[in-house]
Amino acid sequence: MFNSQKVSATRLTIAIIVTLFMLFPLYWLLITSFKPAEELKSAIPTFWPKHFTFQNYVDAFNKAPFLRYGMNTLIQTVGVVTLQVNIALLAAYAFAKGNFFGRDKLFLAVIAAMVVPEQVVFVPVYVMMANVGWLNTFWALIVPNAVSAYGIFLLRQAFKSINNDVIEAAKVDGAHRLHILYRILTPMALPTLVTVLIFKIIGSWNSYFWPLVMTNTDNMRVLTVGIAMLKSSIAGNEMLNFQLIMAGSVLVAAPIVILFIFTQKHILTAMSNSTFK
Amino acid sequence: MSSEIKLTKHVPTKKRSLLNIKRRESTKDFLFALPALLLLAIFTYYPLVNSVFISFTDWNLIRPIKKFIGLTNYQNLLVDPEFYHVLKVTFLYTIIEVSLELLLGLGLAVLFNVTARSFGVMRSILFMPHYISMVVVSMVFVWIYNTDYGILNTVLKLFGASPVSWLNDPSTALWAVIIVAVWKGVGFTSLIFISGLRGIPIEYYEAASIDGAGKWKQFLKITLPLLSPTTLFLVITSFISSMQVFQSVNIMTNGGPLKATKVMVYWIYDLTFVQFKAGKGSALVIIFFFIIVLLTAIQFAISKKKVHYEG
Amino acid sequence: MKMKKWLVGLTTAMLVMSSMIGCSSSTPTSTNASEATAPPATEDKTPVTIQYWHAHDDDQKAALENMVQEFNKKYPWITVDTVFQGDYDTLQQKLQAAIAAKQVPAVTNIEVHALPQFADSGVLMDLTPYISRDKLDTNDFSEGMLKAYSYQDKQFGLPLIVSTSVMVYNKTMFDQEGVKPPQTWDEIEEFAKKLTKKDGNEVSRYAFSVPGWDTWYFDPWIENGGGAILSDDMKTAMIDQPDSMKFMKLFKDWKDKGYMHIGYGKGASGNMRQMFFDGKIGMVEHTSALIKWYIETAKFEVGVSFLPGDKKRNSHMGGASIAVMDGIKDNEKEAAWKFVQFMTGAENNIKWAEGTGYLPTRKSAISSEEGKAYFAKYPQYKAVFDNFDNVIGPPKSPAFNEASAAYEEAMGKMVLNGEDPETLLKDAAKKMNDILKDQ
Repeated sequence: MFNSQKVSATRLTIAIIVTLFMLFPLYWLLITSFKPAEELKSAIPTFWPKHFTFQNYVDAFNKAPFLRYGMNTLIQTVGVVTLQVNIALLAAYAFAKGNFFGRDKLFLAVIAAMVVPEQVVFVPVYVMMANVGWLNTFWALIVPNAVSAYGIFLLRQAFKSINNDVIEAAKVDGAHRLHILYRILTPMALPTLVTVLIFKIIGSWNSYFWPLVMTNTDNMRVLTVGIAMLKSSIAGNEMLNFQLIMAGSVLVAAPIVILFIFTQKHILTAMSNSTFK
Repeated sequence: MSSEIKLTKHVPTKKRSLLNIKRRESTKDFLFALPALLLLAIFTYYPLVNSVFISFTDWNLIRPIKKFIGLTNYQNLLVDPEFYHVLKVTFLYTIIEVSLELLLGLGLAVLFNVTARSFGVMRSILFMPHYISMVVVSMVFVWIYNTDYGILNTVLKLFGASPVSWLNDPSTALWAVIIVAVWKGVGFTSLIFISGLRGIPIEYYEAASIDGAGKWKQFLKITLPLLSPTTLFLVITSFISSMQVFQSVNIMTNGGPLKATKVMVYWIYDLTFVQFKAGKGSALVIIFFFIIVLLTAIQFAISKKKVHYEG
Repeated sequence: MKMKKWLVGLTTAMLVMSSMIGCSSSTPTSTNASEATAPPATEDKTPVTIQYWHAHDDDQKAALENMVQEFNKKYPWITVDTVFQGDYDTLQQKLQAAIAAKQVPAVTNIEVHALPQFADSGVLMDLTPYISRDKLDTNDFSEGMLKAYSYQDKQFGLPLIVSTSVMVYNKTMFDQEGVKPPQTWDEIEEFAKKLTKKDGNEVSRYAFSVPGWDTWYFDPWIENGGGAILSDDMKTAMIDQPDSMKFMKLFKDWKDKGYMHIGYGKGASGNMRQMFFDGKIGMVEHTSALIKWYIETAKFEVGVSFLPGDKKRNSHMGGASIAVMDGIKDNEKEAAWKFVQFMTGAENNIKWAEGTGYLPTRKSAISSEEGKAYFAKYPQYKAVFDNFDNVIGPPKSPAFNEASAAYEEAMGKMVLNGEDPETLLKDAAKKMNDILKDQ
């Protein structure tokens, strides 16, 4: 960012305390995953493991194919996000700049879809997937999630704030519709696009219910489902195995946390330049 | 706009060619929206319509035959005290969660809206919980809230308080679940508020300072009104997602203890898949859908009058 | 116009799709018509793959893999795909979705309480004709176990993992304090008085614990007091009868005196176990499936006793059956049936029981040399088998799961709010009657 502001000591102190407070649960997650089982039950909790161990990770990898889960999650995320962003760009353009019968009513229908939880629609979709033979394949994980109403909404807002003259000028030059969308409008709405991209990566990487339902075998499961399965495979004993569950949880969260640490500067800039209205 | 299309019927034939172009244009526009519309129709609206049919039957989800029973499921739901209890819990959860997330989010936004580098780092830490899976977050908090070995009760004991069964006490469970959601969401909310704050032209504040308005007055008279579009966006999106809370409840409490955290989507899920009452569950889906749509529409209607959009 | 053609095509596609879906959920399957004949046994050895959806947790994984290996030695042309689908609830939900989609696994676990729902809906294959065709000696199973998985005189599953609730106690502690696990309700008061420890007002050691989070654990207490949960015709709730309410009044009394711990809500099971291991509870009622686990995990000697009785001395059966789904091909049915027979067969019964911690199910296996060695190794299981005729199945009503939620809640209100048992159970009975009436 630009030049730094001067910050008062009080403000800095409060900010640091708040940050540490917010960070604590994640610290606790990480640190628990390195503790041996007995240390979890000691009367005085240790803020740093007395006996630092990687055993929980070894156990987690032995009990479940986390690499496979990770690959599946990655494929699902790339597929879903690619489709969502492109379909959203097209639709946002149509709803922001296009002219067709019933445009605004149809847009409302898109927005209304946001309020339908996946838990209420999945049975008919599951049956559909079975009928076309897509169950337990990436198709079932990706295609039904290819539309993001939220993404359409945000991109439409961004496109609407772009002056029509830009489009008219391009049209006069004989530019094709897709050209206008991808070469002219999209760069102008880049912060919003990046923001949508981030939201969708987060959403897809962490989706749980949908992949849980649509996959039936271990080699198609994603990380979130894998950790939930690990938890239920030691069901009831969870009190005695929290260190293991925490290790598995770190494996689920780590890739996305690392991704964000390396890109956070761009993300925060993009988000603060997007409009949320 | 649509008015142009209506006009076409009254236009003399000479202008047809121009109109054809227009029509072709609008067809092309429509084609751009088509993929989204089609997928939504298949994967959202068709299942919803399907639910309407099921809601008129006594289907148990696995029996091949569904018996038509008219409005019975709806009637049973509307006289069931549990329906009103679940509605109450869902609203309580939503209202408290959204208010806390917005208030704290705004507070954090004001606190962290500083361009210093250290603040940038801290902002990204605040945002972190937002991108970690709710499955993971719920499990971490199950551990933190644990009655006998959880860190929260250990800290309480240090201060001489007696331990609390956070997730197993009906008076605390809903709060415990709300806190998790607030912790997860507040960093995100504050980032959005910050982007809103940065959109307010600095000249407004300069002018107000010249007029002798204090910091607090500036906040009330400039910041809040100019943030209202951002606030509306956040209210509506967090309202919708809070109403649909499911995962944290499913992992942390299963709707308990004594139904203290039994929220709408959890009940729908429970009715359909645990109790084998797909008909009743579907009726609840339809009622719930209309409640959310209605309330979202009301929020939009109110905001149209109150929200201050620039330009 | 191009556009219109497009739309017509699209609409047709959607109509076709929706009619397909309509069909799949409204055409009755042939289940109920499955007469009492099975296809003749064939010597067909064409390779076939069957899926087995299960809920065997991590501790049972090795035993399962071993069984599948043994099965493959015997039937090399049958491949069994085992898939862990989570706990019983998740497995049940996945099964429901699979049934709706008509893409079911060949073999699955059906939890004992869920069997009536699935059997009543006609989605499970009736095993009776196969049993008579292959002259399977069902008398080798204990009668109660077999009955728990029959519905309206048809056998829909065979007992695979059978458990019952027992009292697991800290024998080291009991020996030190000079107490023995109570065998009757009358003995509980004195036993508990001796074992309970208090630090001022706080209980630092409870004498015993009965889980309140699942009615399965206190259902036998209702019956042992002389009461009943449902009437014999499954149409009326009986939990508001004086004898049925006796246990909860006693529970409240014992709880108020600090003798008894009652776990309630999610995670209560884990906490109870941990308190037991920490010596904060002397004796816990828990599933026999965990006896072996308790013995291996505890740092003290673990003893097992049957539930104390009053007018009766029952305990309920838990666990799951192995069942065959109806909507599969005939050759898969044949393979699935072979797998079911193998999994529940006498030859590997003791090994299976030892590997999973569940109870042996075959009389011939129990009396075999291998069986004797097993009981010598784990004498704790003897308490269960000495009383095995008293282990009965849960009430067999498709509405039982829903109805039991009402008195489970009553238990919760007693535990958490200290409300009056009589009022609670009377209210619960009313709710249950409404639910039962709807069936």
